[in-house]
Amino acid sequence: MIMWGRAVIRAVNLTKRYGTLSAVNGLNLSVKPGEIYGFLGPNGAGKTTTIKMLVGLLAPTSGEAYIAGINVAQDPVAAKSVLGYVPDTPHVYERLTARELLRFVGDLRRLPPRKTEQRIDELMALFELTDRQDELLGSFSHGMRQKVCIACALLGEPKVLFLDEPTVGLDPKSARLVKDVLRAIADAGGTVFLSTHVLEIAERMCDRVGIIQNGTLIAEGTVEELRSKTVPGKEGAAFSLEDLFLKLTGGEEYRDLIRHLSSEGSPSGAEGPGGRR
Amino acid sequence: MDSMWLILRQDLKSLALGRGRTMRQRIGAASLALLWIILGCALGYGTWRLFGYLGDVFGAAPDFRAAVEINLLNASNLFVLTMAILTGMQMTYRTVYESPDVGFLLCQPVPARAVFGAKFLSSFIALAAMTAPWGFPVWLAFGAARGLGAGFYLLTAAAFLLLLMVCHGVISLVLIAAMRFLPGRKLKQLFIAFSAIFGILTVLVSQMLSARLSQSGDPTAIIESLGRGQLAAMWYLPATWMTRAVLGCLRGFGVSGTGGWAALVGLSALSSYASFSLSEKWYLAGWAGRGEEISPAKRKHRKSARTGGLRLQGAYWSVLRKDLTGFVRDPLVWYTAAVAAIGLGFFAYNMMNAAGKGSPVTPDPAEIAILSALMVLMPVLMGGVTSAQTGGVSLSREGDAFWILRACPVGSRELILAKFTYAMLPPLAFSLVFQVFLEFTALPRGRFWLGLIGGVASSAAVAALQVALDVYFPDFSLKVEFGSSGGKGTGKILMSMFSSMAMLALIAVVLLVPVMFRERFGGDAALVLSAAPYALLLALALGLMWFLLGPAARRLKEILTDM
Repeated sequence: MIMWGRAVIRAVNLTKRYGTLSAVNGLNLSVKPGEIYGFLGPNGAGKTTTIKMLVGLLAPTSGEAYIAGINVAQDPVAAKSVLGYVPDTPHVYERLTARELLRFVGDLRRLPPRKTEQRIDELMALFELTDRQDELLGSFSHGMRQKVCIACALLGEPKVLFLDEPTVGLDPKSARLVKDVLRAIADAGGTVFLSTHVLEIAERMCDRVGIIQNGTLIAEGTVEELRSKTVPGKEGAAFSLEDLFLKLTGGEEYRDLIRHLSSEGSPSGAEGPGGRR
Repeated sequence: MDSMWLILRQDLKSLALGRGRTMRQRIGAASLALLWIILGCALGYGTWRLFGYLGDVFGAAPDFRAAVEINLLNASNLFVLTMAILTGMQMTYRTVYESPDVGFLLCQPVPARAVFGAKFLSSFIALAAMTAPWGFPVWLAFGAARGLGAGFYLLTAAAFLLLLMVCHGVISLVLIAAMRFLPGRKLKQLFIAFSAIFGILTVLVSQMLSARLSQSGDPTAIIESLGRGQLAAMWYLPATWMTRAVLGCLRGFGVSGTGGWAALVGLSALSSYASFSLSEKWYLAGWAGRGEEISPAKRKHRKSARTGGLRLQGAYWSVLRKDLTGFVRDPLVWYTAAVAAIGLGFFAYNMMNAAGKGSPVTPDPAEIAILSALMVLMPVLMGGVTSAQTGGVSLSREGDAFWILRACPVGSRELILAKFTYAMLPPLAFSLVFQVFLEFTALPRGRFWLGLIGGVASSAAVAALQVALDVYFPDFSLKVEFGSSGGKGTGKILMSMFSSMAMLALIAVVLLVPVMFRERFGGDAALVLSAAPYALLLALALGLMWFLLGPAARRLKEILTDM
């Protein structure tokens, strides 16, 4: 059921084709203000392609994307001024310091300089980078760069935030911090759209999840809704999001193979206690 | 040993088949190889003519002819050695320590020595391919001019490879020892400092030699001064060992080859053996990746003012400020600026020398027009070389971080204008400084303001062309690092450099055609020779600016929203 009325993020028949390959196929979705939307799918399912089309980094072959009512393809600059984006890999300018990069992003977004400086101070403190903010980003680790990228996305206090695998490379403390920040943004009325492979994050944080496979949205709703749709009845209550994900995306077929491999690998060649059943 | 050959074969296959490269990258690599071959052929042909000329002119004085040939061959070897040191250090470091597969290979059940050996050999092959077109053709030309047999060429090839192996072995040994004690990041800083000093000294010495040679206009006098040179007497240089080794096997040169061969074979074997032996112990222990963290005590803080005051905002100013911040922190910029300043300084010096020797009679307007055009073009050429590696390819140099600009509300016109300003700055700065400098000299030239207009318009034209080419043919895998030939996208830099040269050739035509056809223009020569070409040049620059802000900006918009 697509709710167009108050949607801040809308995808209408969004399609991306590379030659004969359909990376995203007629995708329709909508996300309301104050919602955290988890976008799940196996590797190569089309998650990053979808996010790139929604934020205006990739032109769709057909279909439309709207952010806060702005058609992304028609007015990408206006759309980008209301959204923040964190890519899957945190590439940054290595010859700038963390503070200079944030200041650069603030200036691109035409934030008042005084406010930019204040926000940078806050974000650097939040991500525990205050001591490192005047060092060149070239010397930063992957996790620290990831934090800087998230800070860049948060700097302009965007209405809509897109995060592609935001917790990859973060230590548990920082990952927890990011989750808390995203929850706080949603509680304050912001919209968060994130893709992740960590199903525990999706299950705990997301108000709704969408599962994409081979470029097609195969399921969407709250975890409860997915559970009742996928495994009706009492049996479904015991299903975690991981179980649902595997059932929907066909991952269950590998379980038997894994059991088989583990029994072959056991020293005696005999099946262990957890062997084939 | 098997593992080493297996890894090496894989490396060479990837290199030869261009695996993982796009069609454009393959074409770029093929063009670069073709350019290298053309360069080698041109050098070979030129030196063949020179050796032939020596035979014709000094045939009656064989000892003198041999002395000149020894010095020429030795100078060529010295040049190869310089190149091998300059590029070899970074190339070896990159291949042996920074190849993306080194971490993976070291996790496999193969001895560290095998991984090191394969990388050692593949970097040696790359070094040989890189330097061969600069030195080998000279020897081939010498052999052809002297009518020598196949044995000579085999000996030359062997000696050339041994010379490179000496250099490569010693570099590897130094690196393996340095990596044991220094972090990779520090080592890179040392490379940069060493390469910069060495490079600037090389340019300085070559310019001084060229200035001295150009003072004598007589080719025979230049050759005589070459014959007096005692390059071959520098026994301690590996370049001399090669010269002695090969020429020692020929009659009439009066040198013994035994010492040369012994030194080449001995040192190359010793340094390679020592590197291999140490690699087992030190390669893993000293291996440090580029992603390593700097120790807290050594972190360099760059405090920037926490001012919330007035700051020019928007994409144009923000991108320009960001690029200029990176610009001043890029050692490559300072190096190319120093090289350009040296080149420009010697150009002015040579011009002043030539003018000092000329007649005191005031030159005619055509001569002044030609001199003025030269004074306009030279600083733009030097600046164009700098911007070909910086502003002219700054869109490509955004690299993987380009997503930041693409994800922000940035208009394509503002962005392209910022890139254009950045590309225009080096030629413009060189032009302005040079024109002001000329005011303090007695060189015959046109009006100061015409020189300024010419400088601004030429800089704008060159920058506009470079940026437009970068927009139409971006290469976001471009890596421009100082003193490195291993950086990605060399073809892209060359394209930018040659495009600026082509534009300057066009500007030269614009400025000089009226001079060449001045007879047809009749009486009002002053107007024709001064104002008209500069007005044409201005129109050319404005036309290119229109193209940049129109079709090129539309192309950039496509890139910003669809990649």
